[in-house]
Amino acid sequence: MTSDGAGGARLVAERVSLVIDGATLLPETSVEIDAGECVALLGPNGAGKTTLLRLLSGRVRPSGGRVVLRGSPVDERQAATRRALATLIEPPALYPDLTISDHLALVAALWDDADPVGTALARFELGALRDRFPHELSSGQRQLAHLALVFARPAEVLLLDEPEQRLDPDRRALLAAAIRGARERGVAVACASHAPDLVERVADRRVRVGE
Amino acid sequence: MTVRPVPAEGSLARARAVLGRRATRAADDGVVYRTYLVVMIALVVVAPVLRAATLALADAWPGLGASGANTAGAVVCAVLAACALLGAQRGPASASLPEIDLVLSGPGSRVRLLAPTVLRAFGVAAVLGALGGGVFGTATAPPAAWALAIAVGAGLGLCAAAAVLAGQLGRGVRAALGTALVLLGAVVALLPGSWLPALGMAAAVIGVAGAALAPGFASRIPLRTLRDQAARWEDVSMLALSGDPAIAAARLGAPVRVGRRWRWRVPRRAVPAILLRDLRGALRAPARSLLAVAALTGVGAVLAVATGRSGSPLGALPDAPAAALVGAVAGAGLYAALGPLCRGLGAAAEGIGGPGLLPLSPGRLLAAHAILPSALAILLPVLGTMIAGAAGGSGAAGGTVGASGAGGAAGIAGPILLAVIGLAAMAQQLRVLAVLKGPLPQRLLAPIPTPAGDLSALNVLAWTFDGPVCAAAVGALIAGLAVGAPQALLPVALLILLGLGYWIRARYRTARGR
Repeated sequence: MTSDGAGGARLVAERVSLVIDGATLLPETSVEIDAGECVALLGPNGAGKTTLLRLLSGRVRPSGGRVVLRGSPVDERQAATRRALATLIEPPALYPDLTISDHLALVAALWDDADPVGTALARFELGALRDRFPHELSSGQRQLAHLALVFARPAEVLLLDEPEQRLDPDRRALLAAAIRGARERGVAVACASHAPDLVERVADRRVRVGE
Repeated sequence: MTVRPVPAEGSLARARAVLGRRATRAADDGVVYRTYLVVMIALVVVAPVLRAATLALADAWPGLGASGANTAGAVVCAVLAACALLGAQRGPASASLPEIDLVLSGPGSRVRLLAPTVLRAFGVAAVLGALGGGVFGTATAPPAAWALAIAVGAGLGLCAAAAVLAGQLGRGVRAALGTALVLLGAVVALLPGSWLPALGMAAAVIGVAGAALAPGFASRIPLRTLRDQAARWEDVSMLALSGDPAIAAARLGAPVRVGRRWRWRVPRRAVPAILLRDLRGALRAPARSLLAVAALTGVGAVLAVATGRSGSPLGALPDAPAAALVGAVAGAGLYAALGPLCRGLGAAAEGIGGPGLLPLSPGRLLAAHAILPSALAILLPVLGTMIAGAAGGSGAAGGTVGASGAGGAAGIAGPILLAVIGLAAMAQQLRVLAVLKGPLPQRLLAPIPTPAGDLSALNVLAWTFDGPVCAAAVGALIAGLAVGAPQALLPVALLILLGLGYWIRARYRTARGR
């Protein structure tokens, strides 16, 4: 993953909360993620980790508080926000008639400074699967393909929701290396996870959500 | 340890006994209701449609002249080719998933196990064929020939079932049979009319032979194929009944396997890149794309014939109501034919609420994906119209396609062209609406109590089938206007296009907020 990184992006959630029809999906929470830092979001199921990531991505507006990137409110309708934030919250929709390498070629062509196909495949050891169509992948391979696509595009902030899902220990090590690599290039990373080994390897700070 | 062989006949009998108990448990008042439903649908829907089709065909047949029989023969060949392709999805050899896993995978004879299902399917096909033959004979032949028409129709029905069964045997068989039938259709279109009754009889004999050999062929179908088809069918039925026909239809398409090693140089600009992607997608599903191209072209030709003025070279239908009937079928046909070309559009719509993988706004991405299907939706029907014009012109002149044929094509203008282009654009708009549809809104499930009972099912039905129903409705309106009131065609078409545009905008906004 590449990043313009100029000055480093700082993503800040100031006392954000989400209440829908009286149900509190996320109690008031504040978190700051600096460029080159990885923050692990921890908490039991239903604590609001995914909700917080959705608020950070600008896809959902908070009921209270605000999320700002470089001092400007985050709103996914803005092209600047979409350029800055790469997210793996819900898996991206894949074209049923493109192979994995086709998808990566499309990403590489349309994003400036995206990783070349070979690099993106190598990052998650997907070389052997390059000519597979999405329906020919196992659930774990599919998760790797999603990760490869998200890490291939340039971003200043990376938001990951339980990226370790369905990955074996070796693939988790690849994921940890990819997150560390992004962090070293100045990308701000927020990662919700239930995997202590992954958190141990990548997190600079831990934030407990829902408390 | 020794394995004691299970006598095949004994296991078959035991399996049938168990399945018989299951059938007994399932037998309840539902059978009475289903019978009532079938009878009422036959009386209220099927009978009037058959009557209307017979009358329309009786009116149109003399206008088609000598080419009518050849056209009918070519259409039959095309239908049989489509039947062969249908074998990829489902066919006479079928069983439920538990039957496949527990019974068909056992030591019993598959010929005997599959025979009842296969023969039942052939029987239904023969009845439907006889019905079609009866309609055709009643409309086009003297009473003395009706029995023969019914017999040939039943035989062709058996042929259709045999083609579907052959299609179940595998991709190679489907491709070979489909190609052979298309070529045969081309030959039939050029044959002297006197050959066609003999060919019809030969087809009927082949159909009867096919029915006799069918259980044997069915037993050669790999169990994996039967299982894949049963699993897919179960998914599709469940999704269709639960009000998600778009996903149900998407499941019907066999997964793409063609061209996995095609490398591509993706343009750096978004619109050409997406256009190229959609083109690759279409090429990677060649059978579906070819079928879509043929259907779009064919619908254009049919529309041209339906909307040609009475007395003109294409004027096969005498009045606006008949044209509207054909227009409704053409509208629904256009809508269905565009489906395979809209897979990129569907994937883009699926990702609207999720994280964007590409540096385009969801709206721009959708618009880029709409370019290829929109262009084909308009160009191919227009091409079909031109072909019909050329053929109609030459047919009317009684000569070969030449100066008069060119005259016929040049004569395709005004209302006919406007109707074809307008309807094609509307069908494409309805496709965009379909991909933006999303799940069934909960509020539609609210009960609507009336003296006749809860009518909420009508809401669900309207939601479920809004695409094809709207396509048929606008098809009927546009074709009817083209014949009955051509001066009103343009303003009405513009109004519909505008209304659909607003509908797309509303659904897009809803989809983004989902």
